Amino acid sequence: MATWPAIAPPRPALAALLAALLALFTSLAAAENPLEAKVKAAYLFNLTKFVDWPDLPADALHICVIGSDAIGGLLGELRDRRVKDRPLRIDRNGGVVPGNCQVLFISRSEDGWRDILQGLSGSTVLTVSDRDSFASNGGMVGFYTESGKVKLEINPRAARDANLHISSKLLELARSVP
Amino acid sequence: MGLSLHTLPIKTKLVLIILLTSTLSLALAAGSFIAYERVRVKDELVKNLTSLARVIADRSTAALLFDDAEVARETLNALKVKRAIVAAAIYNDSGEVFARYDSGEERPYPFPEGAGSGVQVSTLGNHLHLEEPMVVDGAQIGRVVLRASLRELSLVWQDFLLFAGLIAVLTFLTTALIASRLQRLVSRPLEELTGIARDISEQKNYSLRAKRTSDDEVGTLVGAFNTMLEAIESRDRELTGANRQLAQGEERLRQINEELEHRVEERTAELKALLDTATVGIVLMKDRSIADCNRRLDEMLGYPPGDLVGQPTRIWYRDDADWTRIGNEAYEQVIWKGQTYLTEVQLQRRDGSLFWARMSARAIDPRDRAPGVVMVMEDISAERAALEEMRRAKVLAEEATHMKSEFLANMSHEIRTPMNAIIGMLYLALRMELPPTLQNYLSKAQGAAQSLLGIINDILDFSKIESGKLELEAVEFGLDSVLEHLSDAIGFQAEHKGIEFLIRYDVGIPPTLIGDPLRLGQVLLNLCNNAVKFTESGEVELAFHCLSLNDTDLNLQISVRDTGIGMNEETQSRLFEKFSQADQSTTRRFGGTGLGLAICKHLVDMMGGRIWVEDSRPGKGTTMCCTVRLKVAREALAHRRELLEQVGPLLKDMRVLVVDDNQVSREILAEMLRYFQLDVAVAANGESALDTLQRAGEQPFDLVLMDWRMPGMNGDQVIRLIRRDPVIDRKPKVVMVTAYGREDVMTLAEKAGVDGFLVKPVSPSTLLDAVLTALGRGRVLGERKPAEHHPGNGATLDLKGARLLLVEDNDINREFAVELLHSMNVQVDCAVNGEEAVAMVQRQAYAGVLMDIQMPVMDGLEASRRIRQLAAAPGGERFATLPIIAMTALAMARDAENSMAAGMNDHITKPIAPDRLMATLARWIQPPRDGAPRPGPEQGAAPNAIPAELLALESLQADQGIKRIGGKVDAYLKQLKRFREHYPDAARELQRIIAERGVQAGEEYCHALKGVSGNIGAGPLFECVAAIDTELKEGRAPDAAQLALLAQRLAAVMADIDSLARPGVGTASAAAPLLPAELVRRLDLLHAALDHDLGAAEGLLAELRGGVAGGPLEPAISALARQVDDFAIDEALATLADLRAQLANRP
Repeated sequence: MATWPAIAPPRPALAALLAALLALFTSLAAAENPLEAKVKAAYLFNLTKFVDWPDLPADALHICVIGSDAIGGLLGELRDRRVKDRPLRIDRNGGVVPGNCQVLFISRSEDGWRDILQGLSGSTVLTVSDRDSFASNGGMVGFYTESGKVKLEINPRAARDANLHISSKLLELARSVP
Repeated sequence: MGLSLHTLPIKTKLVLIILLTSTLSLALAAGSFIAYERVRVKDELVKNLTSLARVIADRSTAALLFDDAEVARETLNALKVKRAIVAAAIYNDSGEVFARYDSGEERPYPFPEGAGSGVQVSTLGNHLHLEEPMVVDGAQIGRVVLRASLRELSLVWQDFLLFAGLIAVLTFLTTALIASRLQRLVSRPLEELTGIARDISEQKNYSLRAKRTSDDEVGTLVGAFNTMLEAIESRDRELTGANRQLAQGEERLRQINEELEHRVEERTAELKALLDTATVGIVLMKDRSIADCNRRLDEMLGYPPGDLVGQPTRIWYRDDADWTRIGNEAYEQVIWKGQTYLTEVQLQRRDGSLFWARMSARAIDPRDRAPGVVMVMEDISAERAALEEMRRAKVLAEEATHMKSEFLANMSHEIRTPMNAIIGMLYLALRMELPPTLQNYLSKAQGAAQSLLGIINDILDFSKIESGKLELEAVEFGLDSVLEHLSDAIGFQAEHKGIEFLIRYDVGIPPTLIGDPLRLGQVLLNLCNNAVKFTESGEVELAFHCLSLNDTDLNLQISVRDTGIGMNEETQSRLFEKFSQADQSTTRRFGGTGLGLAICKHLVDMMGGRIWVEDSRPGKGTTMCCTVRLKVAREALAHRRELLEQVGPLLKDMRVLVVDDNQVSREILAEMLRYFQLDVAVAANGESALDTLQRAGEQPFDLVLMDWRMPGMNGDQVIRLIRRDPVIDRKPKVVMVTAYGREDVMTLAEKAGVDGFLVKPVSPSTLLDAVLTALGRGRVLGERKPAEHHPGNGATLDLKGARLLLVEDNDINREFAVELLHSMNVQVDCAVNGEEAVAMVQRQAYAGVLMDIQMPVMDGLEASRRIRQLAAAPGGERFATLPIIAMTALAMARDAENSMAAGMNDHITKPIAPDRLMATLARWIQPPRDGAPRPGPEQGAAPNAIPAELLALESLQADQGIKRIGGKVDAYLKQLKRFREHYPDAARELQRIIAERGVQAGEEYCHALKGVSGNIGAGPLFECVAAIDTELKEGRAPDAAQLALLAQRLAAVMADIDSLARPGVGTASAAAPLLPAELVRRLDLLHAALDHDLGAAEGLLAELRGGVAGGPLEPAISALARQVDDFAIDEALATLADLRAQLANRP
């Protein structure tokens, strides 16, 4: 069996996990529970497959997580995976240098997100957050919950401004804003 | 069906062929096209579906990854446009259906959960399934499965088939139409031709012709058909003409037949006349009955003409047995095989009288017995009688011839015996002091007797040649010995006439040859004799020249040159004819039978050569030449080389001066000396010899060979001058060369002081010997030929006390050998066969064994092998080294090899030469170091003087025999006596043994006889026995002539021995010793007898010899007997008186 590129461990476990995850989402939509974190971590990882960076560094692909230790921890488990033929590097909180990241997740708990976004102006960093209306307010990809499921909203213009190309396949799934 | 197809008209066949062909090709084309379309349409569908599946898989990755089934379904719904797709599904990685689509055309397909099959395309029933993996960033995250209905595809195929069928029908119809139209082009002319052919065969009208309409194959066929018709038409006309001619021919034939019959009648009559006039009976027989016969047959058998026809052939046979026998012999075996049966048989006439007839019968046709057999019958009574007469005459003639040769053989002996007596007596008489007249008479008588003997010998030889009885021997001999005899005979004559007799050797001639020395000597003697005879002054030169020489064969050219009267050409041409001489006057002047050269020619022919006159002119001399082929004795050449190697260093660079007034003689000597590597100078007379010696200076001469008789100064004078000459400071040794028999010269030379003598003609060996002796270089040749120089002394001392075992079955030979060995001071034990010998060598240690080869019980070869085998036993080492010397009369190389192979050390051949035995023993036998002292060798070895009576014997070479037995005359005489007792009738005995016990036994007997006869020196007998022995060895019994010769020679020997047995020489051991008184009485009687009655003296002498045998008086009595025999009566009387005095003085 081919290696599973996503966060999921071996299939039966993941299947069970997803099933449970979907069931729980309806009741635990608002709270940052572990299942929701897992989905978000998986989505963060999967996003890298549908985005093209113009200046991808040769040594590694950095996914940075600010806030939400749960997502950071889950992603940390994927450290050995390779993405776009490069090793995956997970930077968390204090270790994060925003300019060096390819994907930067800013948890909704972080209030300084606007400053971060401003600081990243002109750099090719895909910014992601689960804060409401993040994409409408200068972010690129936002996670929102609809009928118990985590969904995506994407600001294509912001991505284009950052010189990033997001696959039409992803755009087809997501809600475009603004 | 095949049959019906054949009967169809050509046009139908053509149409059928075209239709079948086109339909088949169409069906084949349509079929392959449809098959191809089927595959292509399906492939296209798969290709379409695959690209659709790829698009779906690609578009759905994000939906699957971000868990948006709605979006996935929407993507799948896009498949609506493709009617063939009835269902589709997206599976996630766990094998669950994530999203699905159904076209609604069929009932929803239950996509199975689980992992995919991995097969991209598969057909399930009427549906096609297509599976496409979904891959993101190199990893599979799920798959898309499409299910398409194949119904659409089937519809397409149906359309195709329909269309193809339509086209096929259309094509078929069109083709049929075109074919039925076009076939007429071919079939119409054929139909026309067929019609014409049918018309011709029905009407037999060959003048009809077909019309030619085209130029194709059919056109050609029509043309050929017409040509054929023309040919048939003309043949038909010819046939009619021929039939008419045939009828005419038959008539002619009948006439010819009549003519023929007439002619046959004529011929038959002629033939009948022919047969009737034949001098032989001719008969035609069928089934052994007489079918027809001629008149002669009737006459021969005594029947009236025609009576025999119809009779069985039995009537002319004596009895049924003859008739049956000839019937059996003749018919199946011969006649019916197509051969001619020929026989002679006694037949019966009508009147019962018998006659001999020759019959020759042959079948007329061997394959067919009906025509019968023709036979010719001849009366051969007269012929028979003549033949019988001839046979009788032949037997008589043969008897006469046999008697003639018997007579000649007897005559030979009978004439020679008195001739010997005459010549011997004349010789003795001439030695006496005689009045000159008597001396002259006797000399002439001697000469006449000699020539008479020569003539007799010639005639006997010639008669032998004429009757083919002359046979050549093949024995080893040295040319030297032949020449020695020649010199004895010729040298004296030559010297007597004052002619130089020279022999020029070819140094290449091997010392030992194989051939017939006596016959070679005879040729040489004859040629030289003639040369001397016809030469009054000058020289006779006998020269030898090797024409060719290899290891085995020698082709020798002999030439005899004289300076005599020569011959004219006419004489030369008749020279070798028998009874021819130069002319009648020659006969008167020189005598001779004229047979000599004819005999020589025969002998030379037999020796494989020829003889001719090389050069002859009246008054200038003659050169006669002949060639002979001889064999070279084994090892002779090697020996020669060996000898040269030995001699070479001794003589090399010695300086020799040859002084001889005769140029040829000088050359011959110089040539021989150069061969021995000497440095040779020559001088023609005494003065120049002295001159040469004086001028030699720094290189003085070591040796001078000086001829005695030279003009001006004789040899002895020159020698004296040399001895006195002060200029010649180093005096050379001098050897005097003299002509034959000049004892006076020897005396002169000895006085002059010479170092040696050589008697002309000089042979290489005597020359070498003389040179070496004179130079004090030892006698190399002496070692080679001890027989000539060492009569058994030197080595004798070395053998003193040695004990040998002699193994010999023949008692005479044994006695001989024992005597011989005793004379050498060797102790001898005897064994009579091999078995005894093997036993005896084990009992006592011998210094050596002398082993005969052929012996009863166990032969010498086997005995030697047994003795050598003893060496293997413990303590038997001495048997390995015990010298065993074979004594054999076999004397062939093969036998020597055999004896060596049996373990013997050496072999000597019988008759045993004492010197050879000595030399051989000396080589092998170690005398005991502490040998007991024995009497000195002189006593035994000193040879007694050989009585003249013994030497005069014709059949025995007594000197040789005595030499073989160690020089003891008495022992020799004893041996002769024993021989006389054992072999009085050996020829008949031999014949009896061969007849009764076979050739093998005969050979043993003959072998013994050969040894004995050799030992006693019975040369001619030995030759004869040896020849028979050789024959027997090869398994052939001797013929009557050989046996007759043996008997004759044996008789001669016996007669000689008997003559010795008379008082005077008689056997010494015969009587008991006489008392001194008896001796005295007999001596007195002898005295009286010598005075008055010589006849009585012989008896007395015999008694005396017997009485003193072995005693001290024996030599005196022997001497007395000799004197009496020599008719030296006065001396005998003196001896008698001495003896008488001795006896009187004895106590």
